[in-house]
Amino acid sequence: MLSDSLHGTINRKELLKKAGAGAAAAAASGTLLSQAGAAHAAAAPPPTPVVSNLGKGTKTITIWDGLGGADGAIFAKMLALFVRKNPDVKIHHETLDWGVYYQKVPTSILAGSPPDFIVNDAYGLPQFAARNMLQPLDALIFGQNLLPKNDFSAGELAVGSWQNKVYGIPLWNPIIGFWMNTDLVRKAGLNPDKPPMTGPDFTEWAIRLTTDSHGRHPDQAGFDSRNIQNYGVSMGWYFHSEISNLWQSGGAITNAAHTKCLLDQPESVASLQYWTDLATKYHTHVPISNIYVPATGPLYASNRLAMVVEGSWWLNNFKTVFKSLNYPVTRLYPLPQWGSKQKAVWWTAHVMSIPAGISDQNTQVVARLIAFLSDQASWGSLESGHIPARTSHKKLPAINSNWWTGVLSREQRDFGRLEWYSPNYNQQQTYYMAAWGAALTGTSSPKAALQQATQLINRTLG
Amino acid sequence: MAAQTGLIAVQGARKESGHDRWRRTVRRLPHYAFIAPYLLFFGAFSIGPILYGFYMSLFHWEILASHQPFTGLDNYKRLIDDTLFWTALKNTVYFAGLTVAIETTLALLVALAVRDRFFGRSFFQSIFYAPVTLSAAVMGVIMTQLISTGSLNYYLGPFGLGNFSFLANTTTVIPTLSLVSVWWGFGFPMLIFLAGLYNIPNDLYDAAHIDGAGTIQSFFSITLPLLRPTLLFVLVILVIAHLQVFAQNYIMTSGGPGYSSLSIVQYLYQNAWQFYDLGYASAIAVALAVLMGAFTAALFRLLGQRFEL
Repeated sequence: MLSDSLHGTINRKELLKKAGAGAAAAAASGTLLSQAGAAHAAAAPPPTPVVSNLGKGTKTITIWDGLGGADGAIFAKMLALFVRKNPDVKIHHETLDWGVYYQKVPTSILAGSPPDFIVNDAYGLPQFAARNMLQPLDALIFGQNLLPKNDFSAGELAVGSWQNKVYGIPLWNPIIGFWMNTDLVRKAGLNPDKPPMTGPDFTEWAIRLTTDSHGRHPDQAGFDSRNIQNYGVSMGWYFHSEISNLWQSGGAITNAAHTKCLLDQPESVASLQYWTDLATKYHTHVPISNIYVPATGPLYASNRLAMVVEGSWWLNNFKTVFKSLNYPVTRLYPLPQWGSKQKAVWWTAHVMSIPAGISDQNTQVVARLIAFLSDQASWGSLESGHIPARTSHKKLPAINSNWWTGVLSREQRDFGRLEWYSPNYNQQQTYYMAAWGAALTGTSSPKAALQQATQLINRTLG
Repeated sequence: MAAQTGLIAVQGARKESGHDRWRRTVRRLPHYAFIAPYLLFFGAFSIGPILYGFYMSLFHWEILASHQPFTGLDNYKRLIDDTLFWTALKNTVYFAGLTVAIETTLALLVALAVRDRFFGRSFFQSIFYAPVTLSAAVMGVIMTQLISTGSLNYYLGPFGLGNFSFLANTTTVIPTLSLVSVWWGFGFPMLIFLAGLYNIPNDLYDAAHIDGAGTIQSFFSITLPLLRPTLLFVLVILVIAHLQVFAQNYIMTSGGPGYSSLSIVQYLYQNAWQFYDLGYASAIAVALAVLMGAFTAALFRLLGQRFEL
């Protein structure tokens, strides 16, 4: 033998040993990672359980939702309050990832074992209602006077309806907002009391707030776009910003009859070109690599990002992750009017629904629960960041006076606009999001990307 | 020996009576009994759904619809005209080809490196295998944080890549996903290669050494030919696995930018669970199965021999 070094056998025991050691190493690295994030973890409140059982009553109802942020935490508190006041009820509550949620609900109905109560985004409602997955709620909720129908505006009723029947009761309204780190704004020599109100102003601010590692701005000679130190703006999830800008520019996803996609029209192209220029021409936008911009949070937390256009759910970050940047360092402003036509601000609703196939007894319990949650939505809104859905709640001083719902509720009242939620909404959104992503990353021109999306969306219409 | 062979031949030629056949069947019954539970589950949970999936692909099958109209081969015709399907197919084949090539080469090289006894060998074997134990979701989130939040760019700044977005560029997105997948998964083929390497008798290397063969010549003349069954096994499982890529793209890029990293399984998922068009999604699944079968058959043909895996 030359040497024993080439010798060796690997038997089952050794294989298992190596695999075990590998797993241990992975676990150890996981521990190190979690230790690295301990600073954040220590500051964060305890996470809301994704599965919980509340109450000890004999009437058991199962609830599924996708509320994973501050809204989920406050929703769980509202459920706990309900079982305290209704000792005959026991609740099994599961919070799911939205992607999983939209798979599980239809399959559970198909299998004959749906949850008794669901809370979904308004866009999911027509998809479910058109496929007979939901129970109509007019008679059950409004017919029994469990809730006053006239306390919901026409827009709120519209987001909960499909073909003039109510299938969902809006709980609260997520809405797009404009968050700004006023310290960074002041350091850049700008006045946070006079925020940008138009598209050109916004671009100017984004340029002033963006610097490379030598302190140069994008409009200065020698600006190094490969080494940016501070970013001016990020959209977070770019969907909400772009659709608001699309409307502001006079564009729309479809025509009024919903028979033709309009995304290839000049107004739509111009609205996308605006954000594309901020991202690829001026380099003021945080790099986009997904349907959301993952670097937004970390950059904002490290004081390297000044302006963020994100939804009301962003409030949660100031309670958990960026506590030191909470108000008054960060302030929420009215959305600028980027487009040239008319200001518009995207909003939606979380709607409460009852799946088809639920027993009469559980349907009645859930009806009670829906009414209770709707009544409690005002204080829930103050915690979640969203605006309460009911008109009387929107008028409450507590809602109108604080630094987030105060701004957001006025934005909704004066400029709020709803999307068209069709039974094929997911498909249509997938197509235009891909087009927007392609343009915003400079992969495709806005016009070419939108032409492809238009062709695909047209196949889903009519 | 020859007499023995002749006896077997004579016995084989004798006509088997019904009684012999019955006895033989009875003798084999325990074999069937042992494999029956597996066959039962395999039939119920694999063969059944596969056949039902093909059946569904012949309908306009929408979830919870009261009527599922029979459409024959319409879903397959739609597939042929669907530009997104072809984009996804191209992306998937590119991803699978690149990933399999890098992963196989790297796994073999690392297996060769950690085969010999040296201080810390077990540690390195374990470390290289460790990422395999991560779930796809965990791996995807870690890599998204690393690549998309600027952590990686921080270290690449001196090379002029301080602001380069690897996942937002059509040229780099699939190679980036591929490298991430290699990091995540190469420990498994490495382990298979290690087992294959340990099965090669050392005498062969000794003899080659005496005959003056160097390391590289030994590798190409001894190691590689004798590893061919292992190589075939690794290639087949990796090709099948990577043609079904989903989680990395879903978590890290959502198929973007645009459709630059949309994979077949992701497109299937979209059609089934976001668009609720299960008939068309089934047709995509059948097409993918045919594609995987074709690649597997090509690999068997390419490597020239039939091996017992």
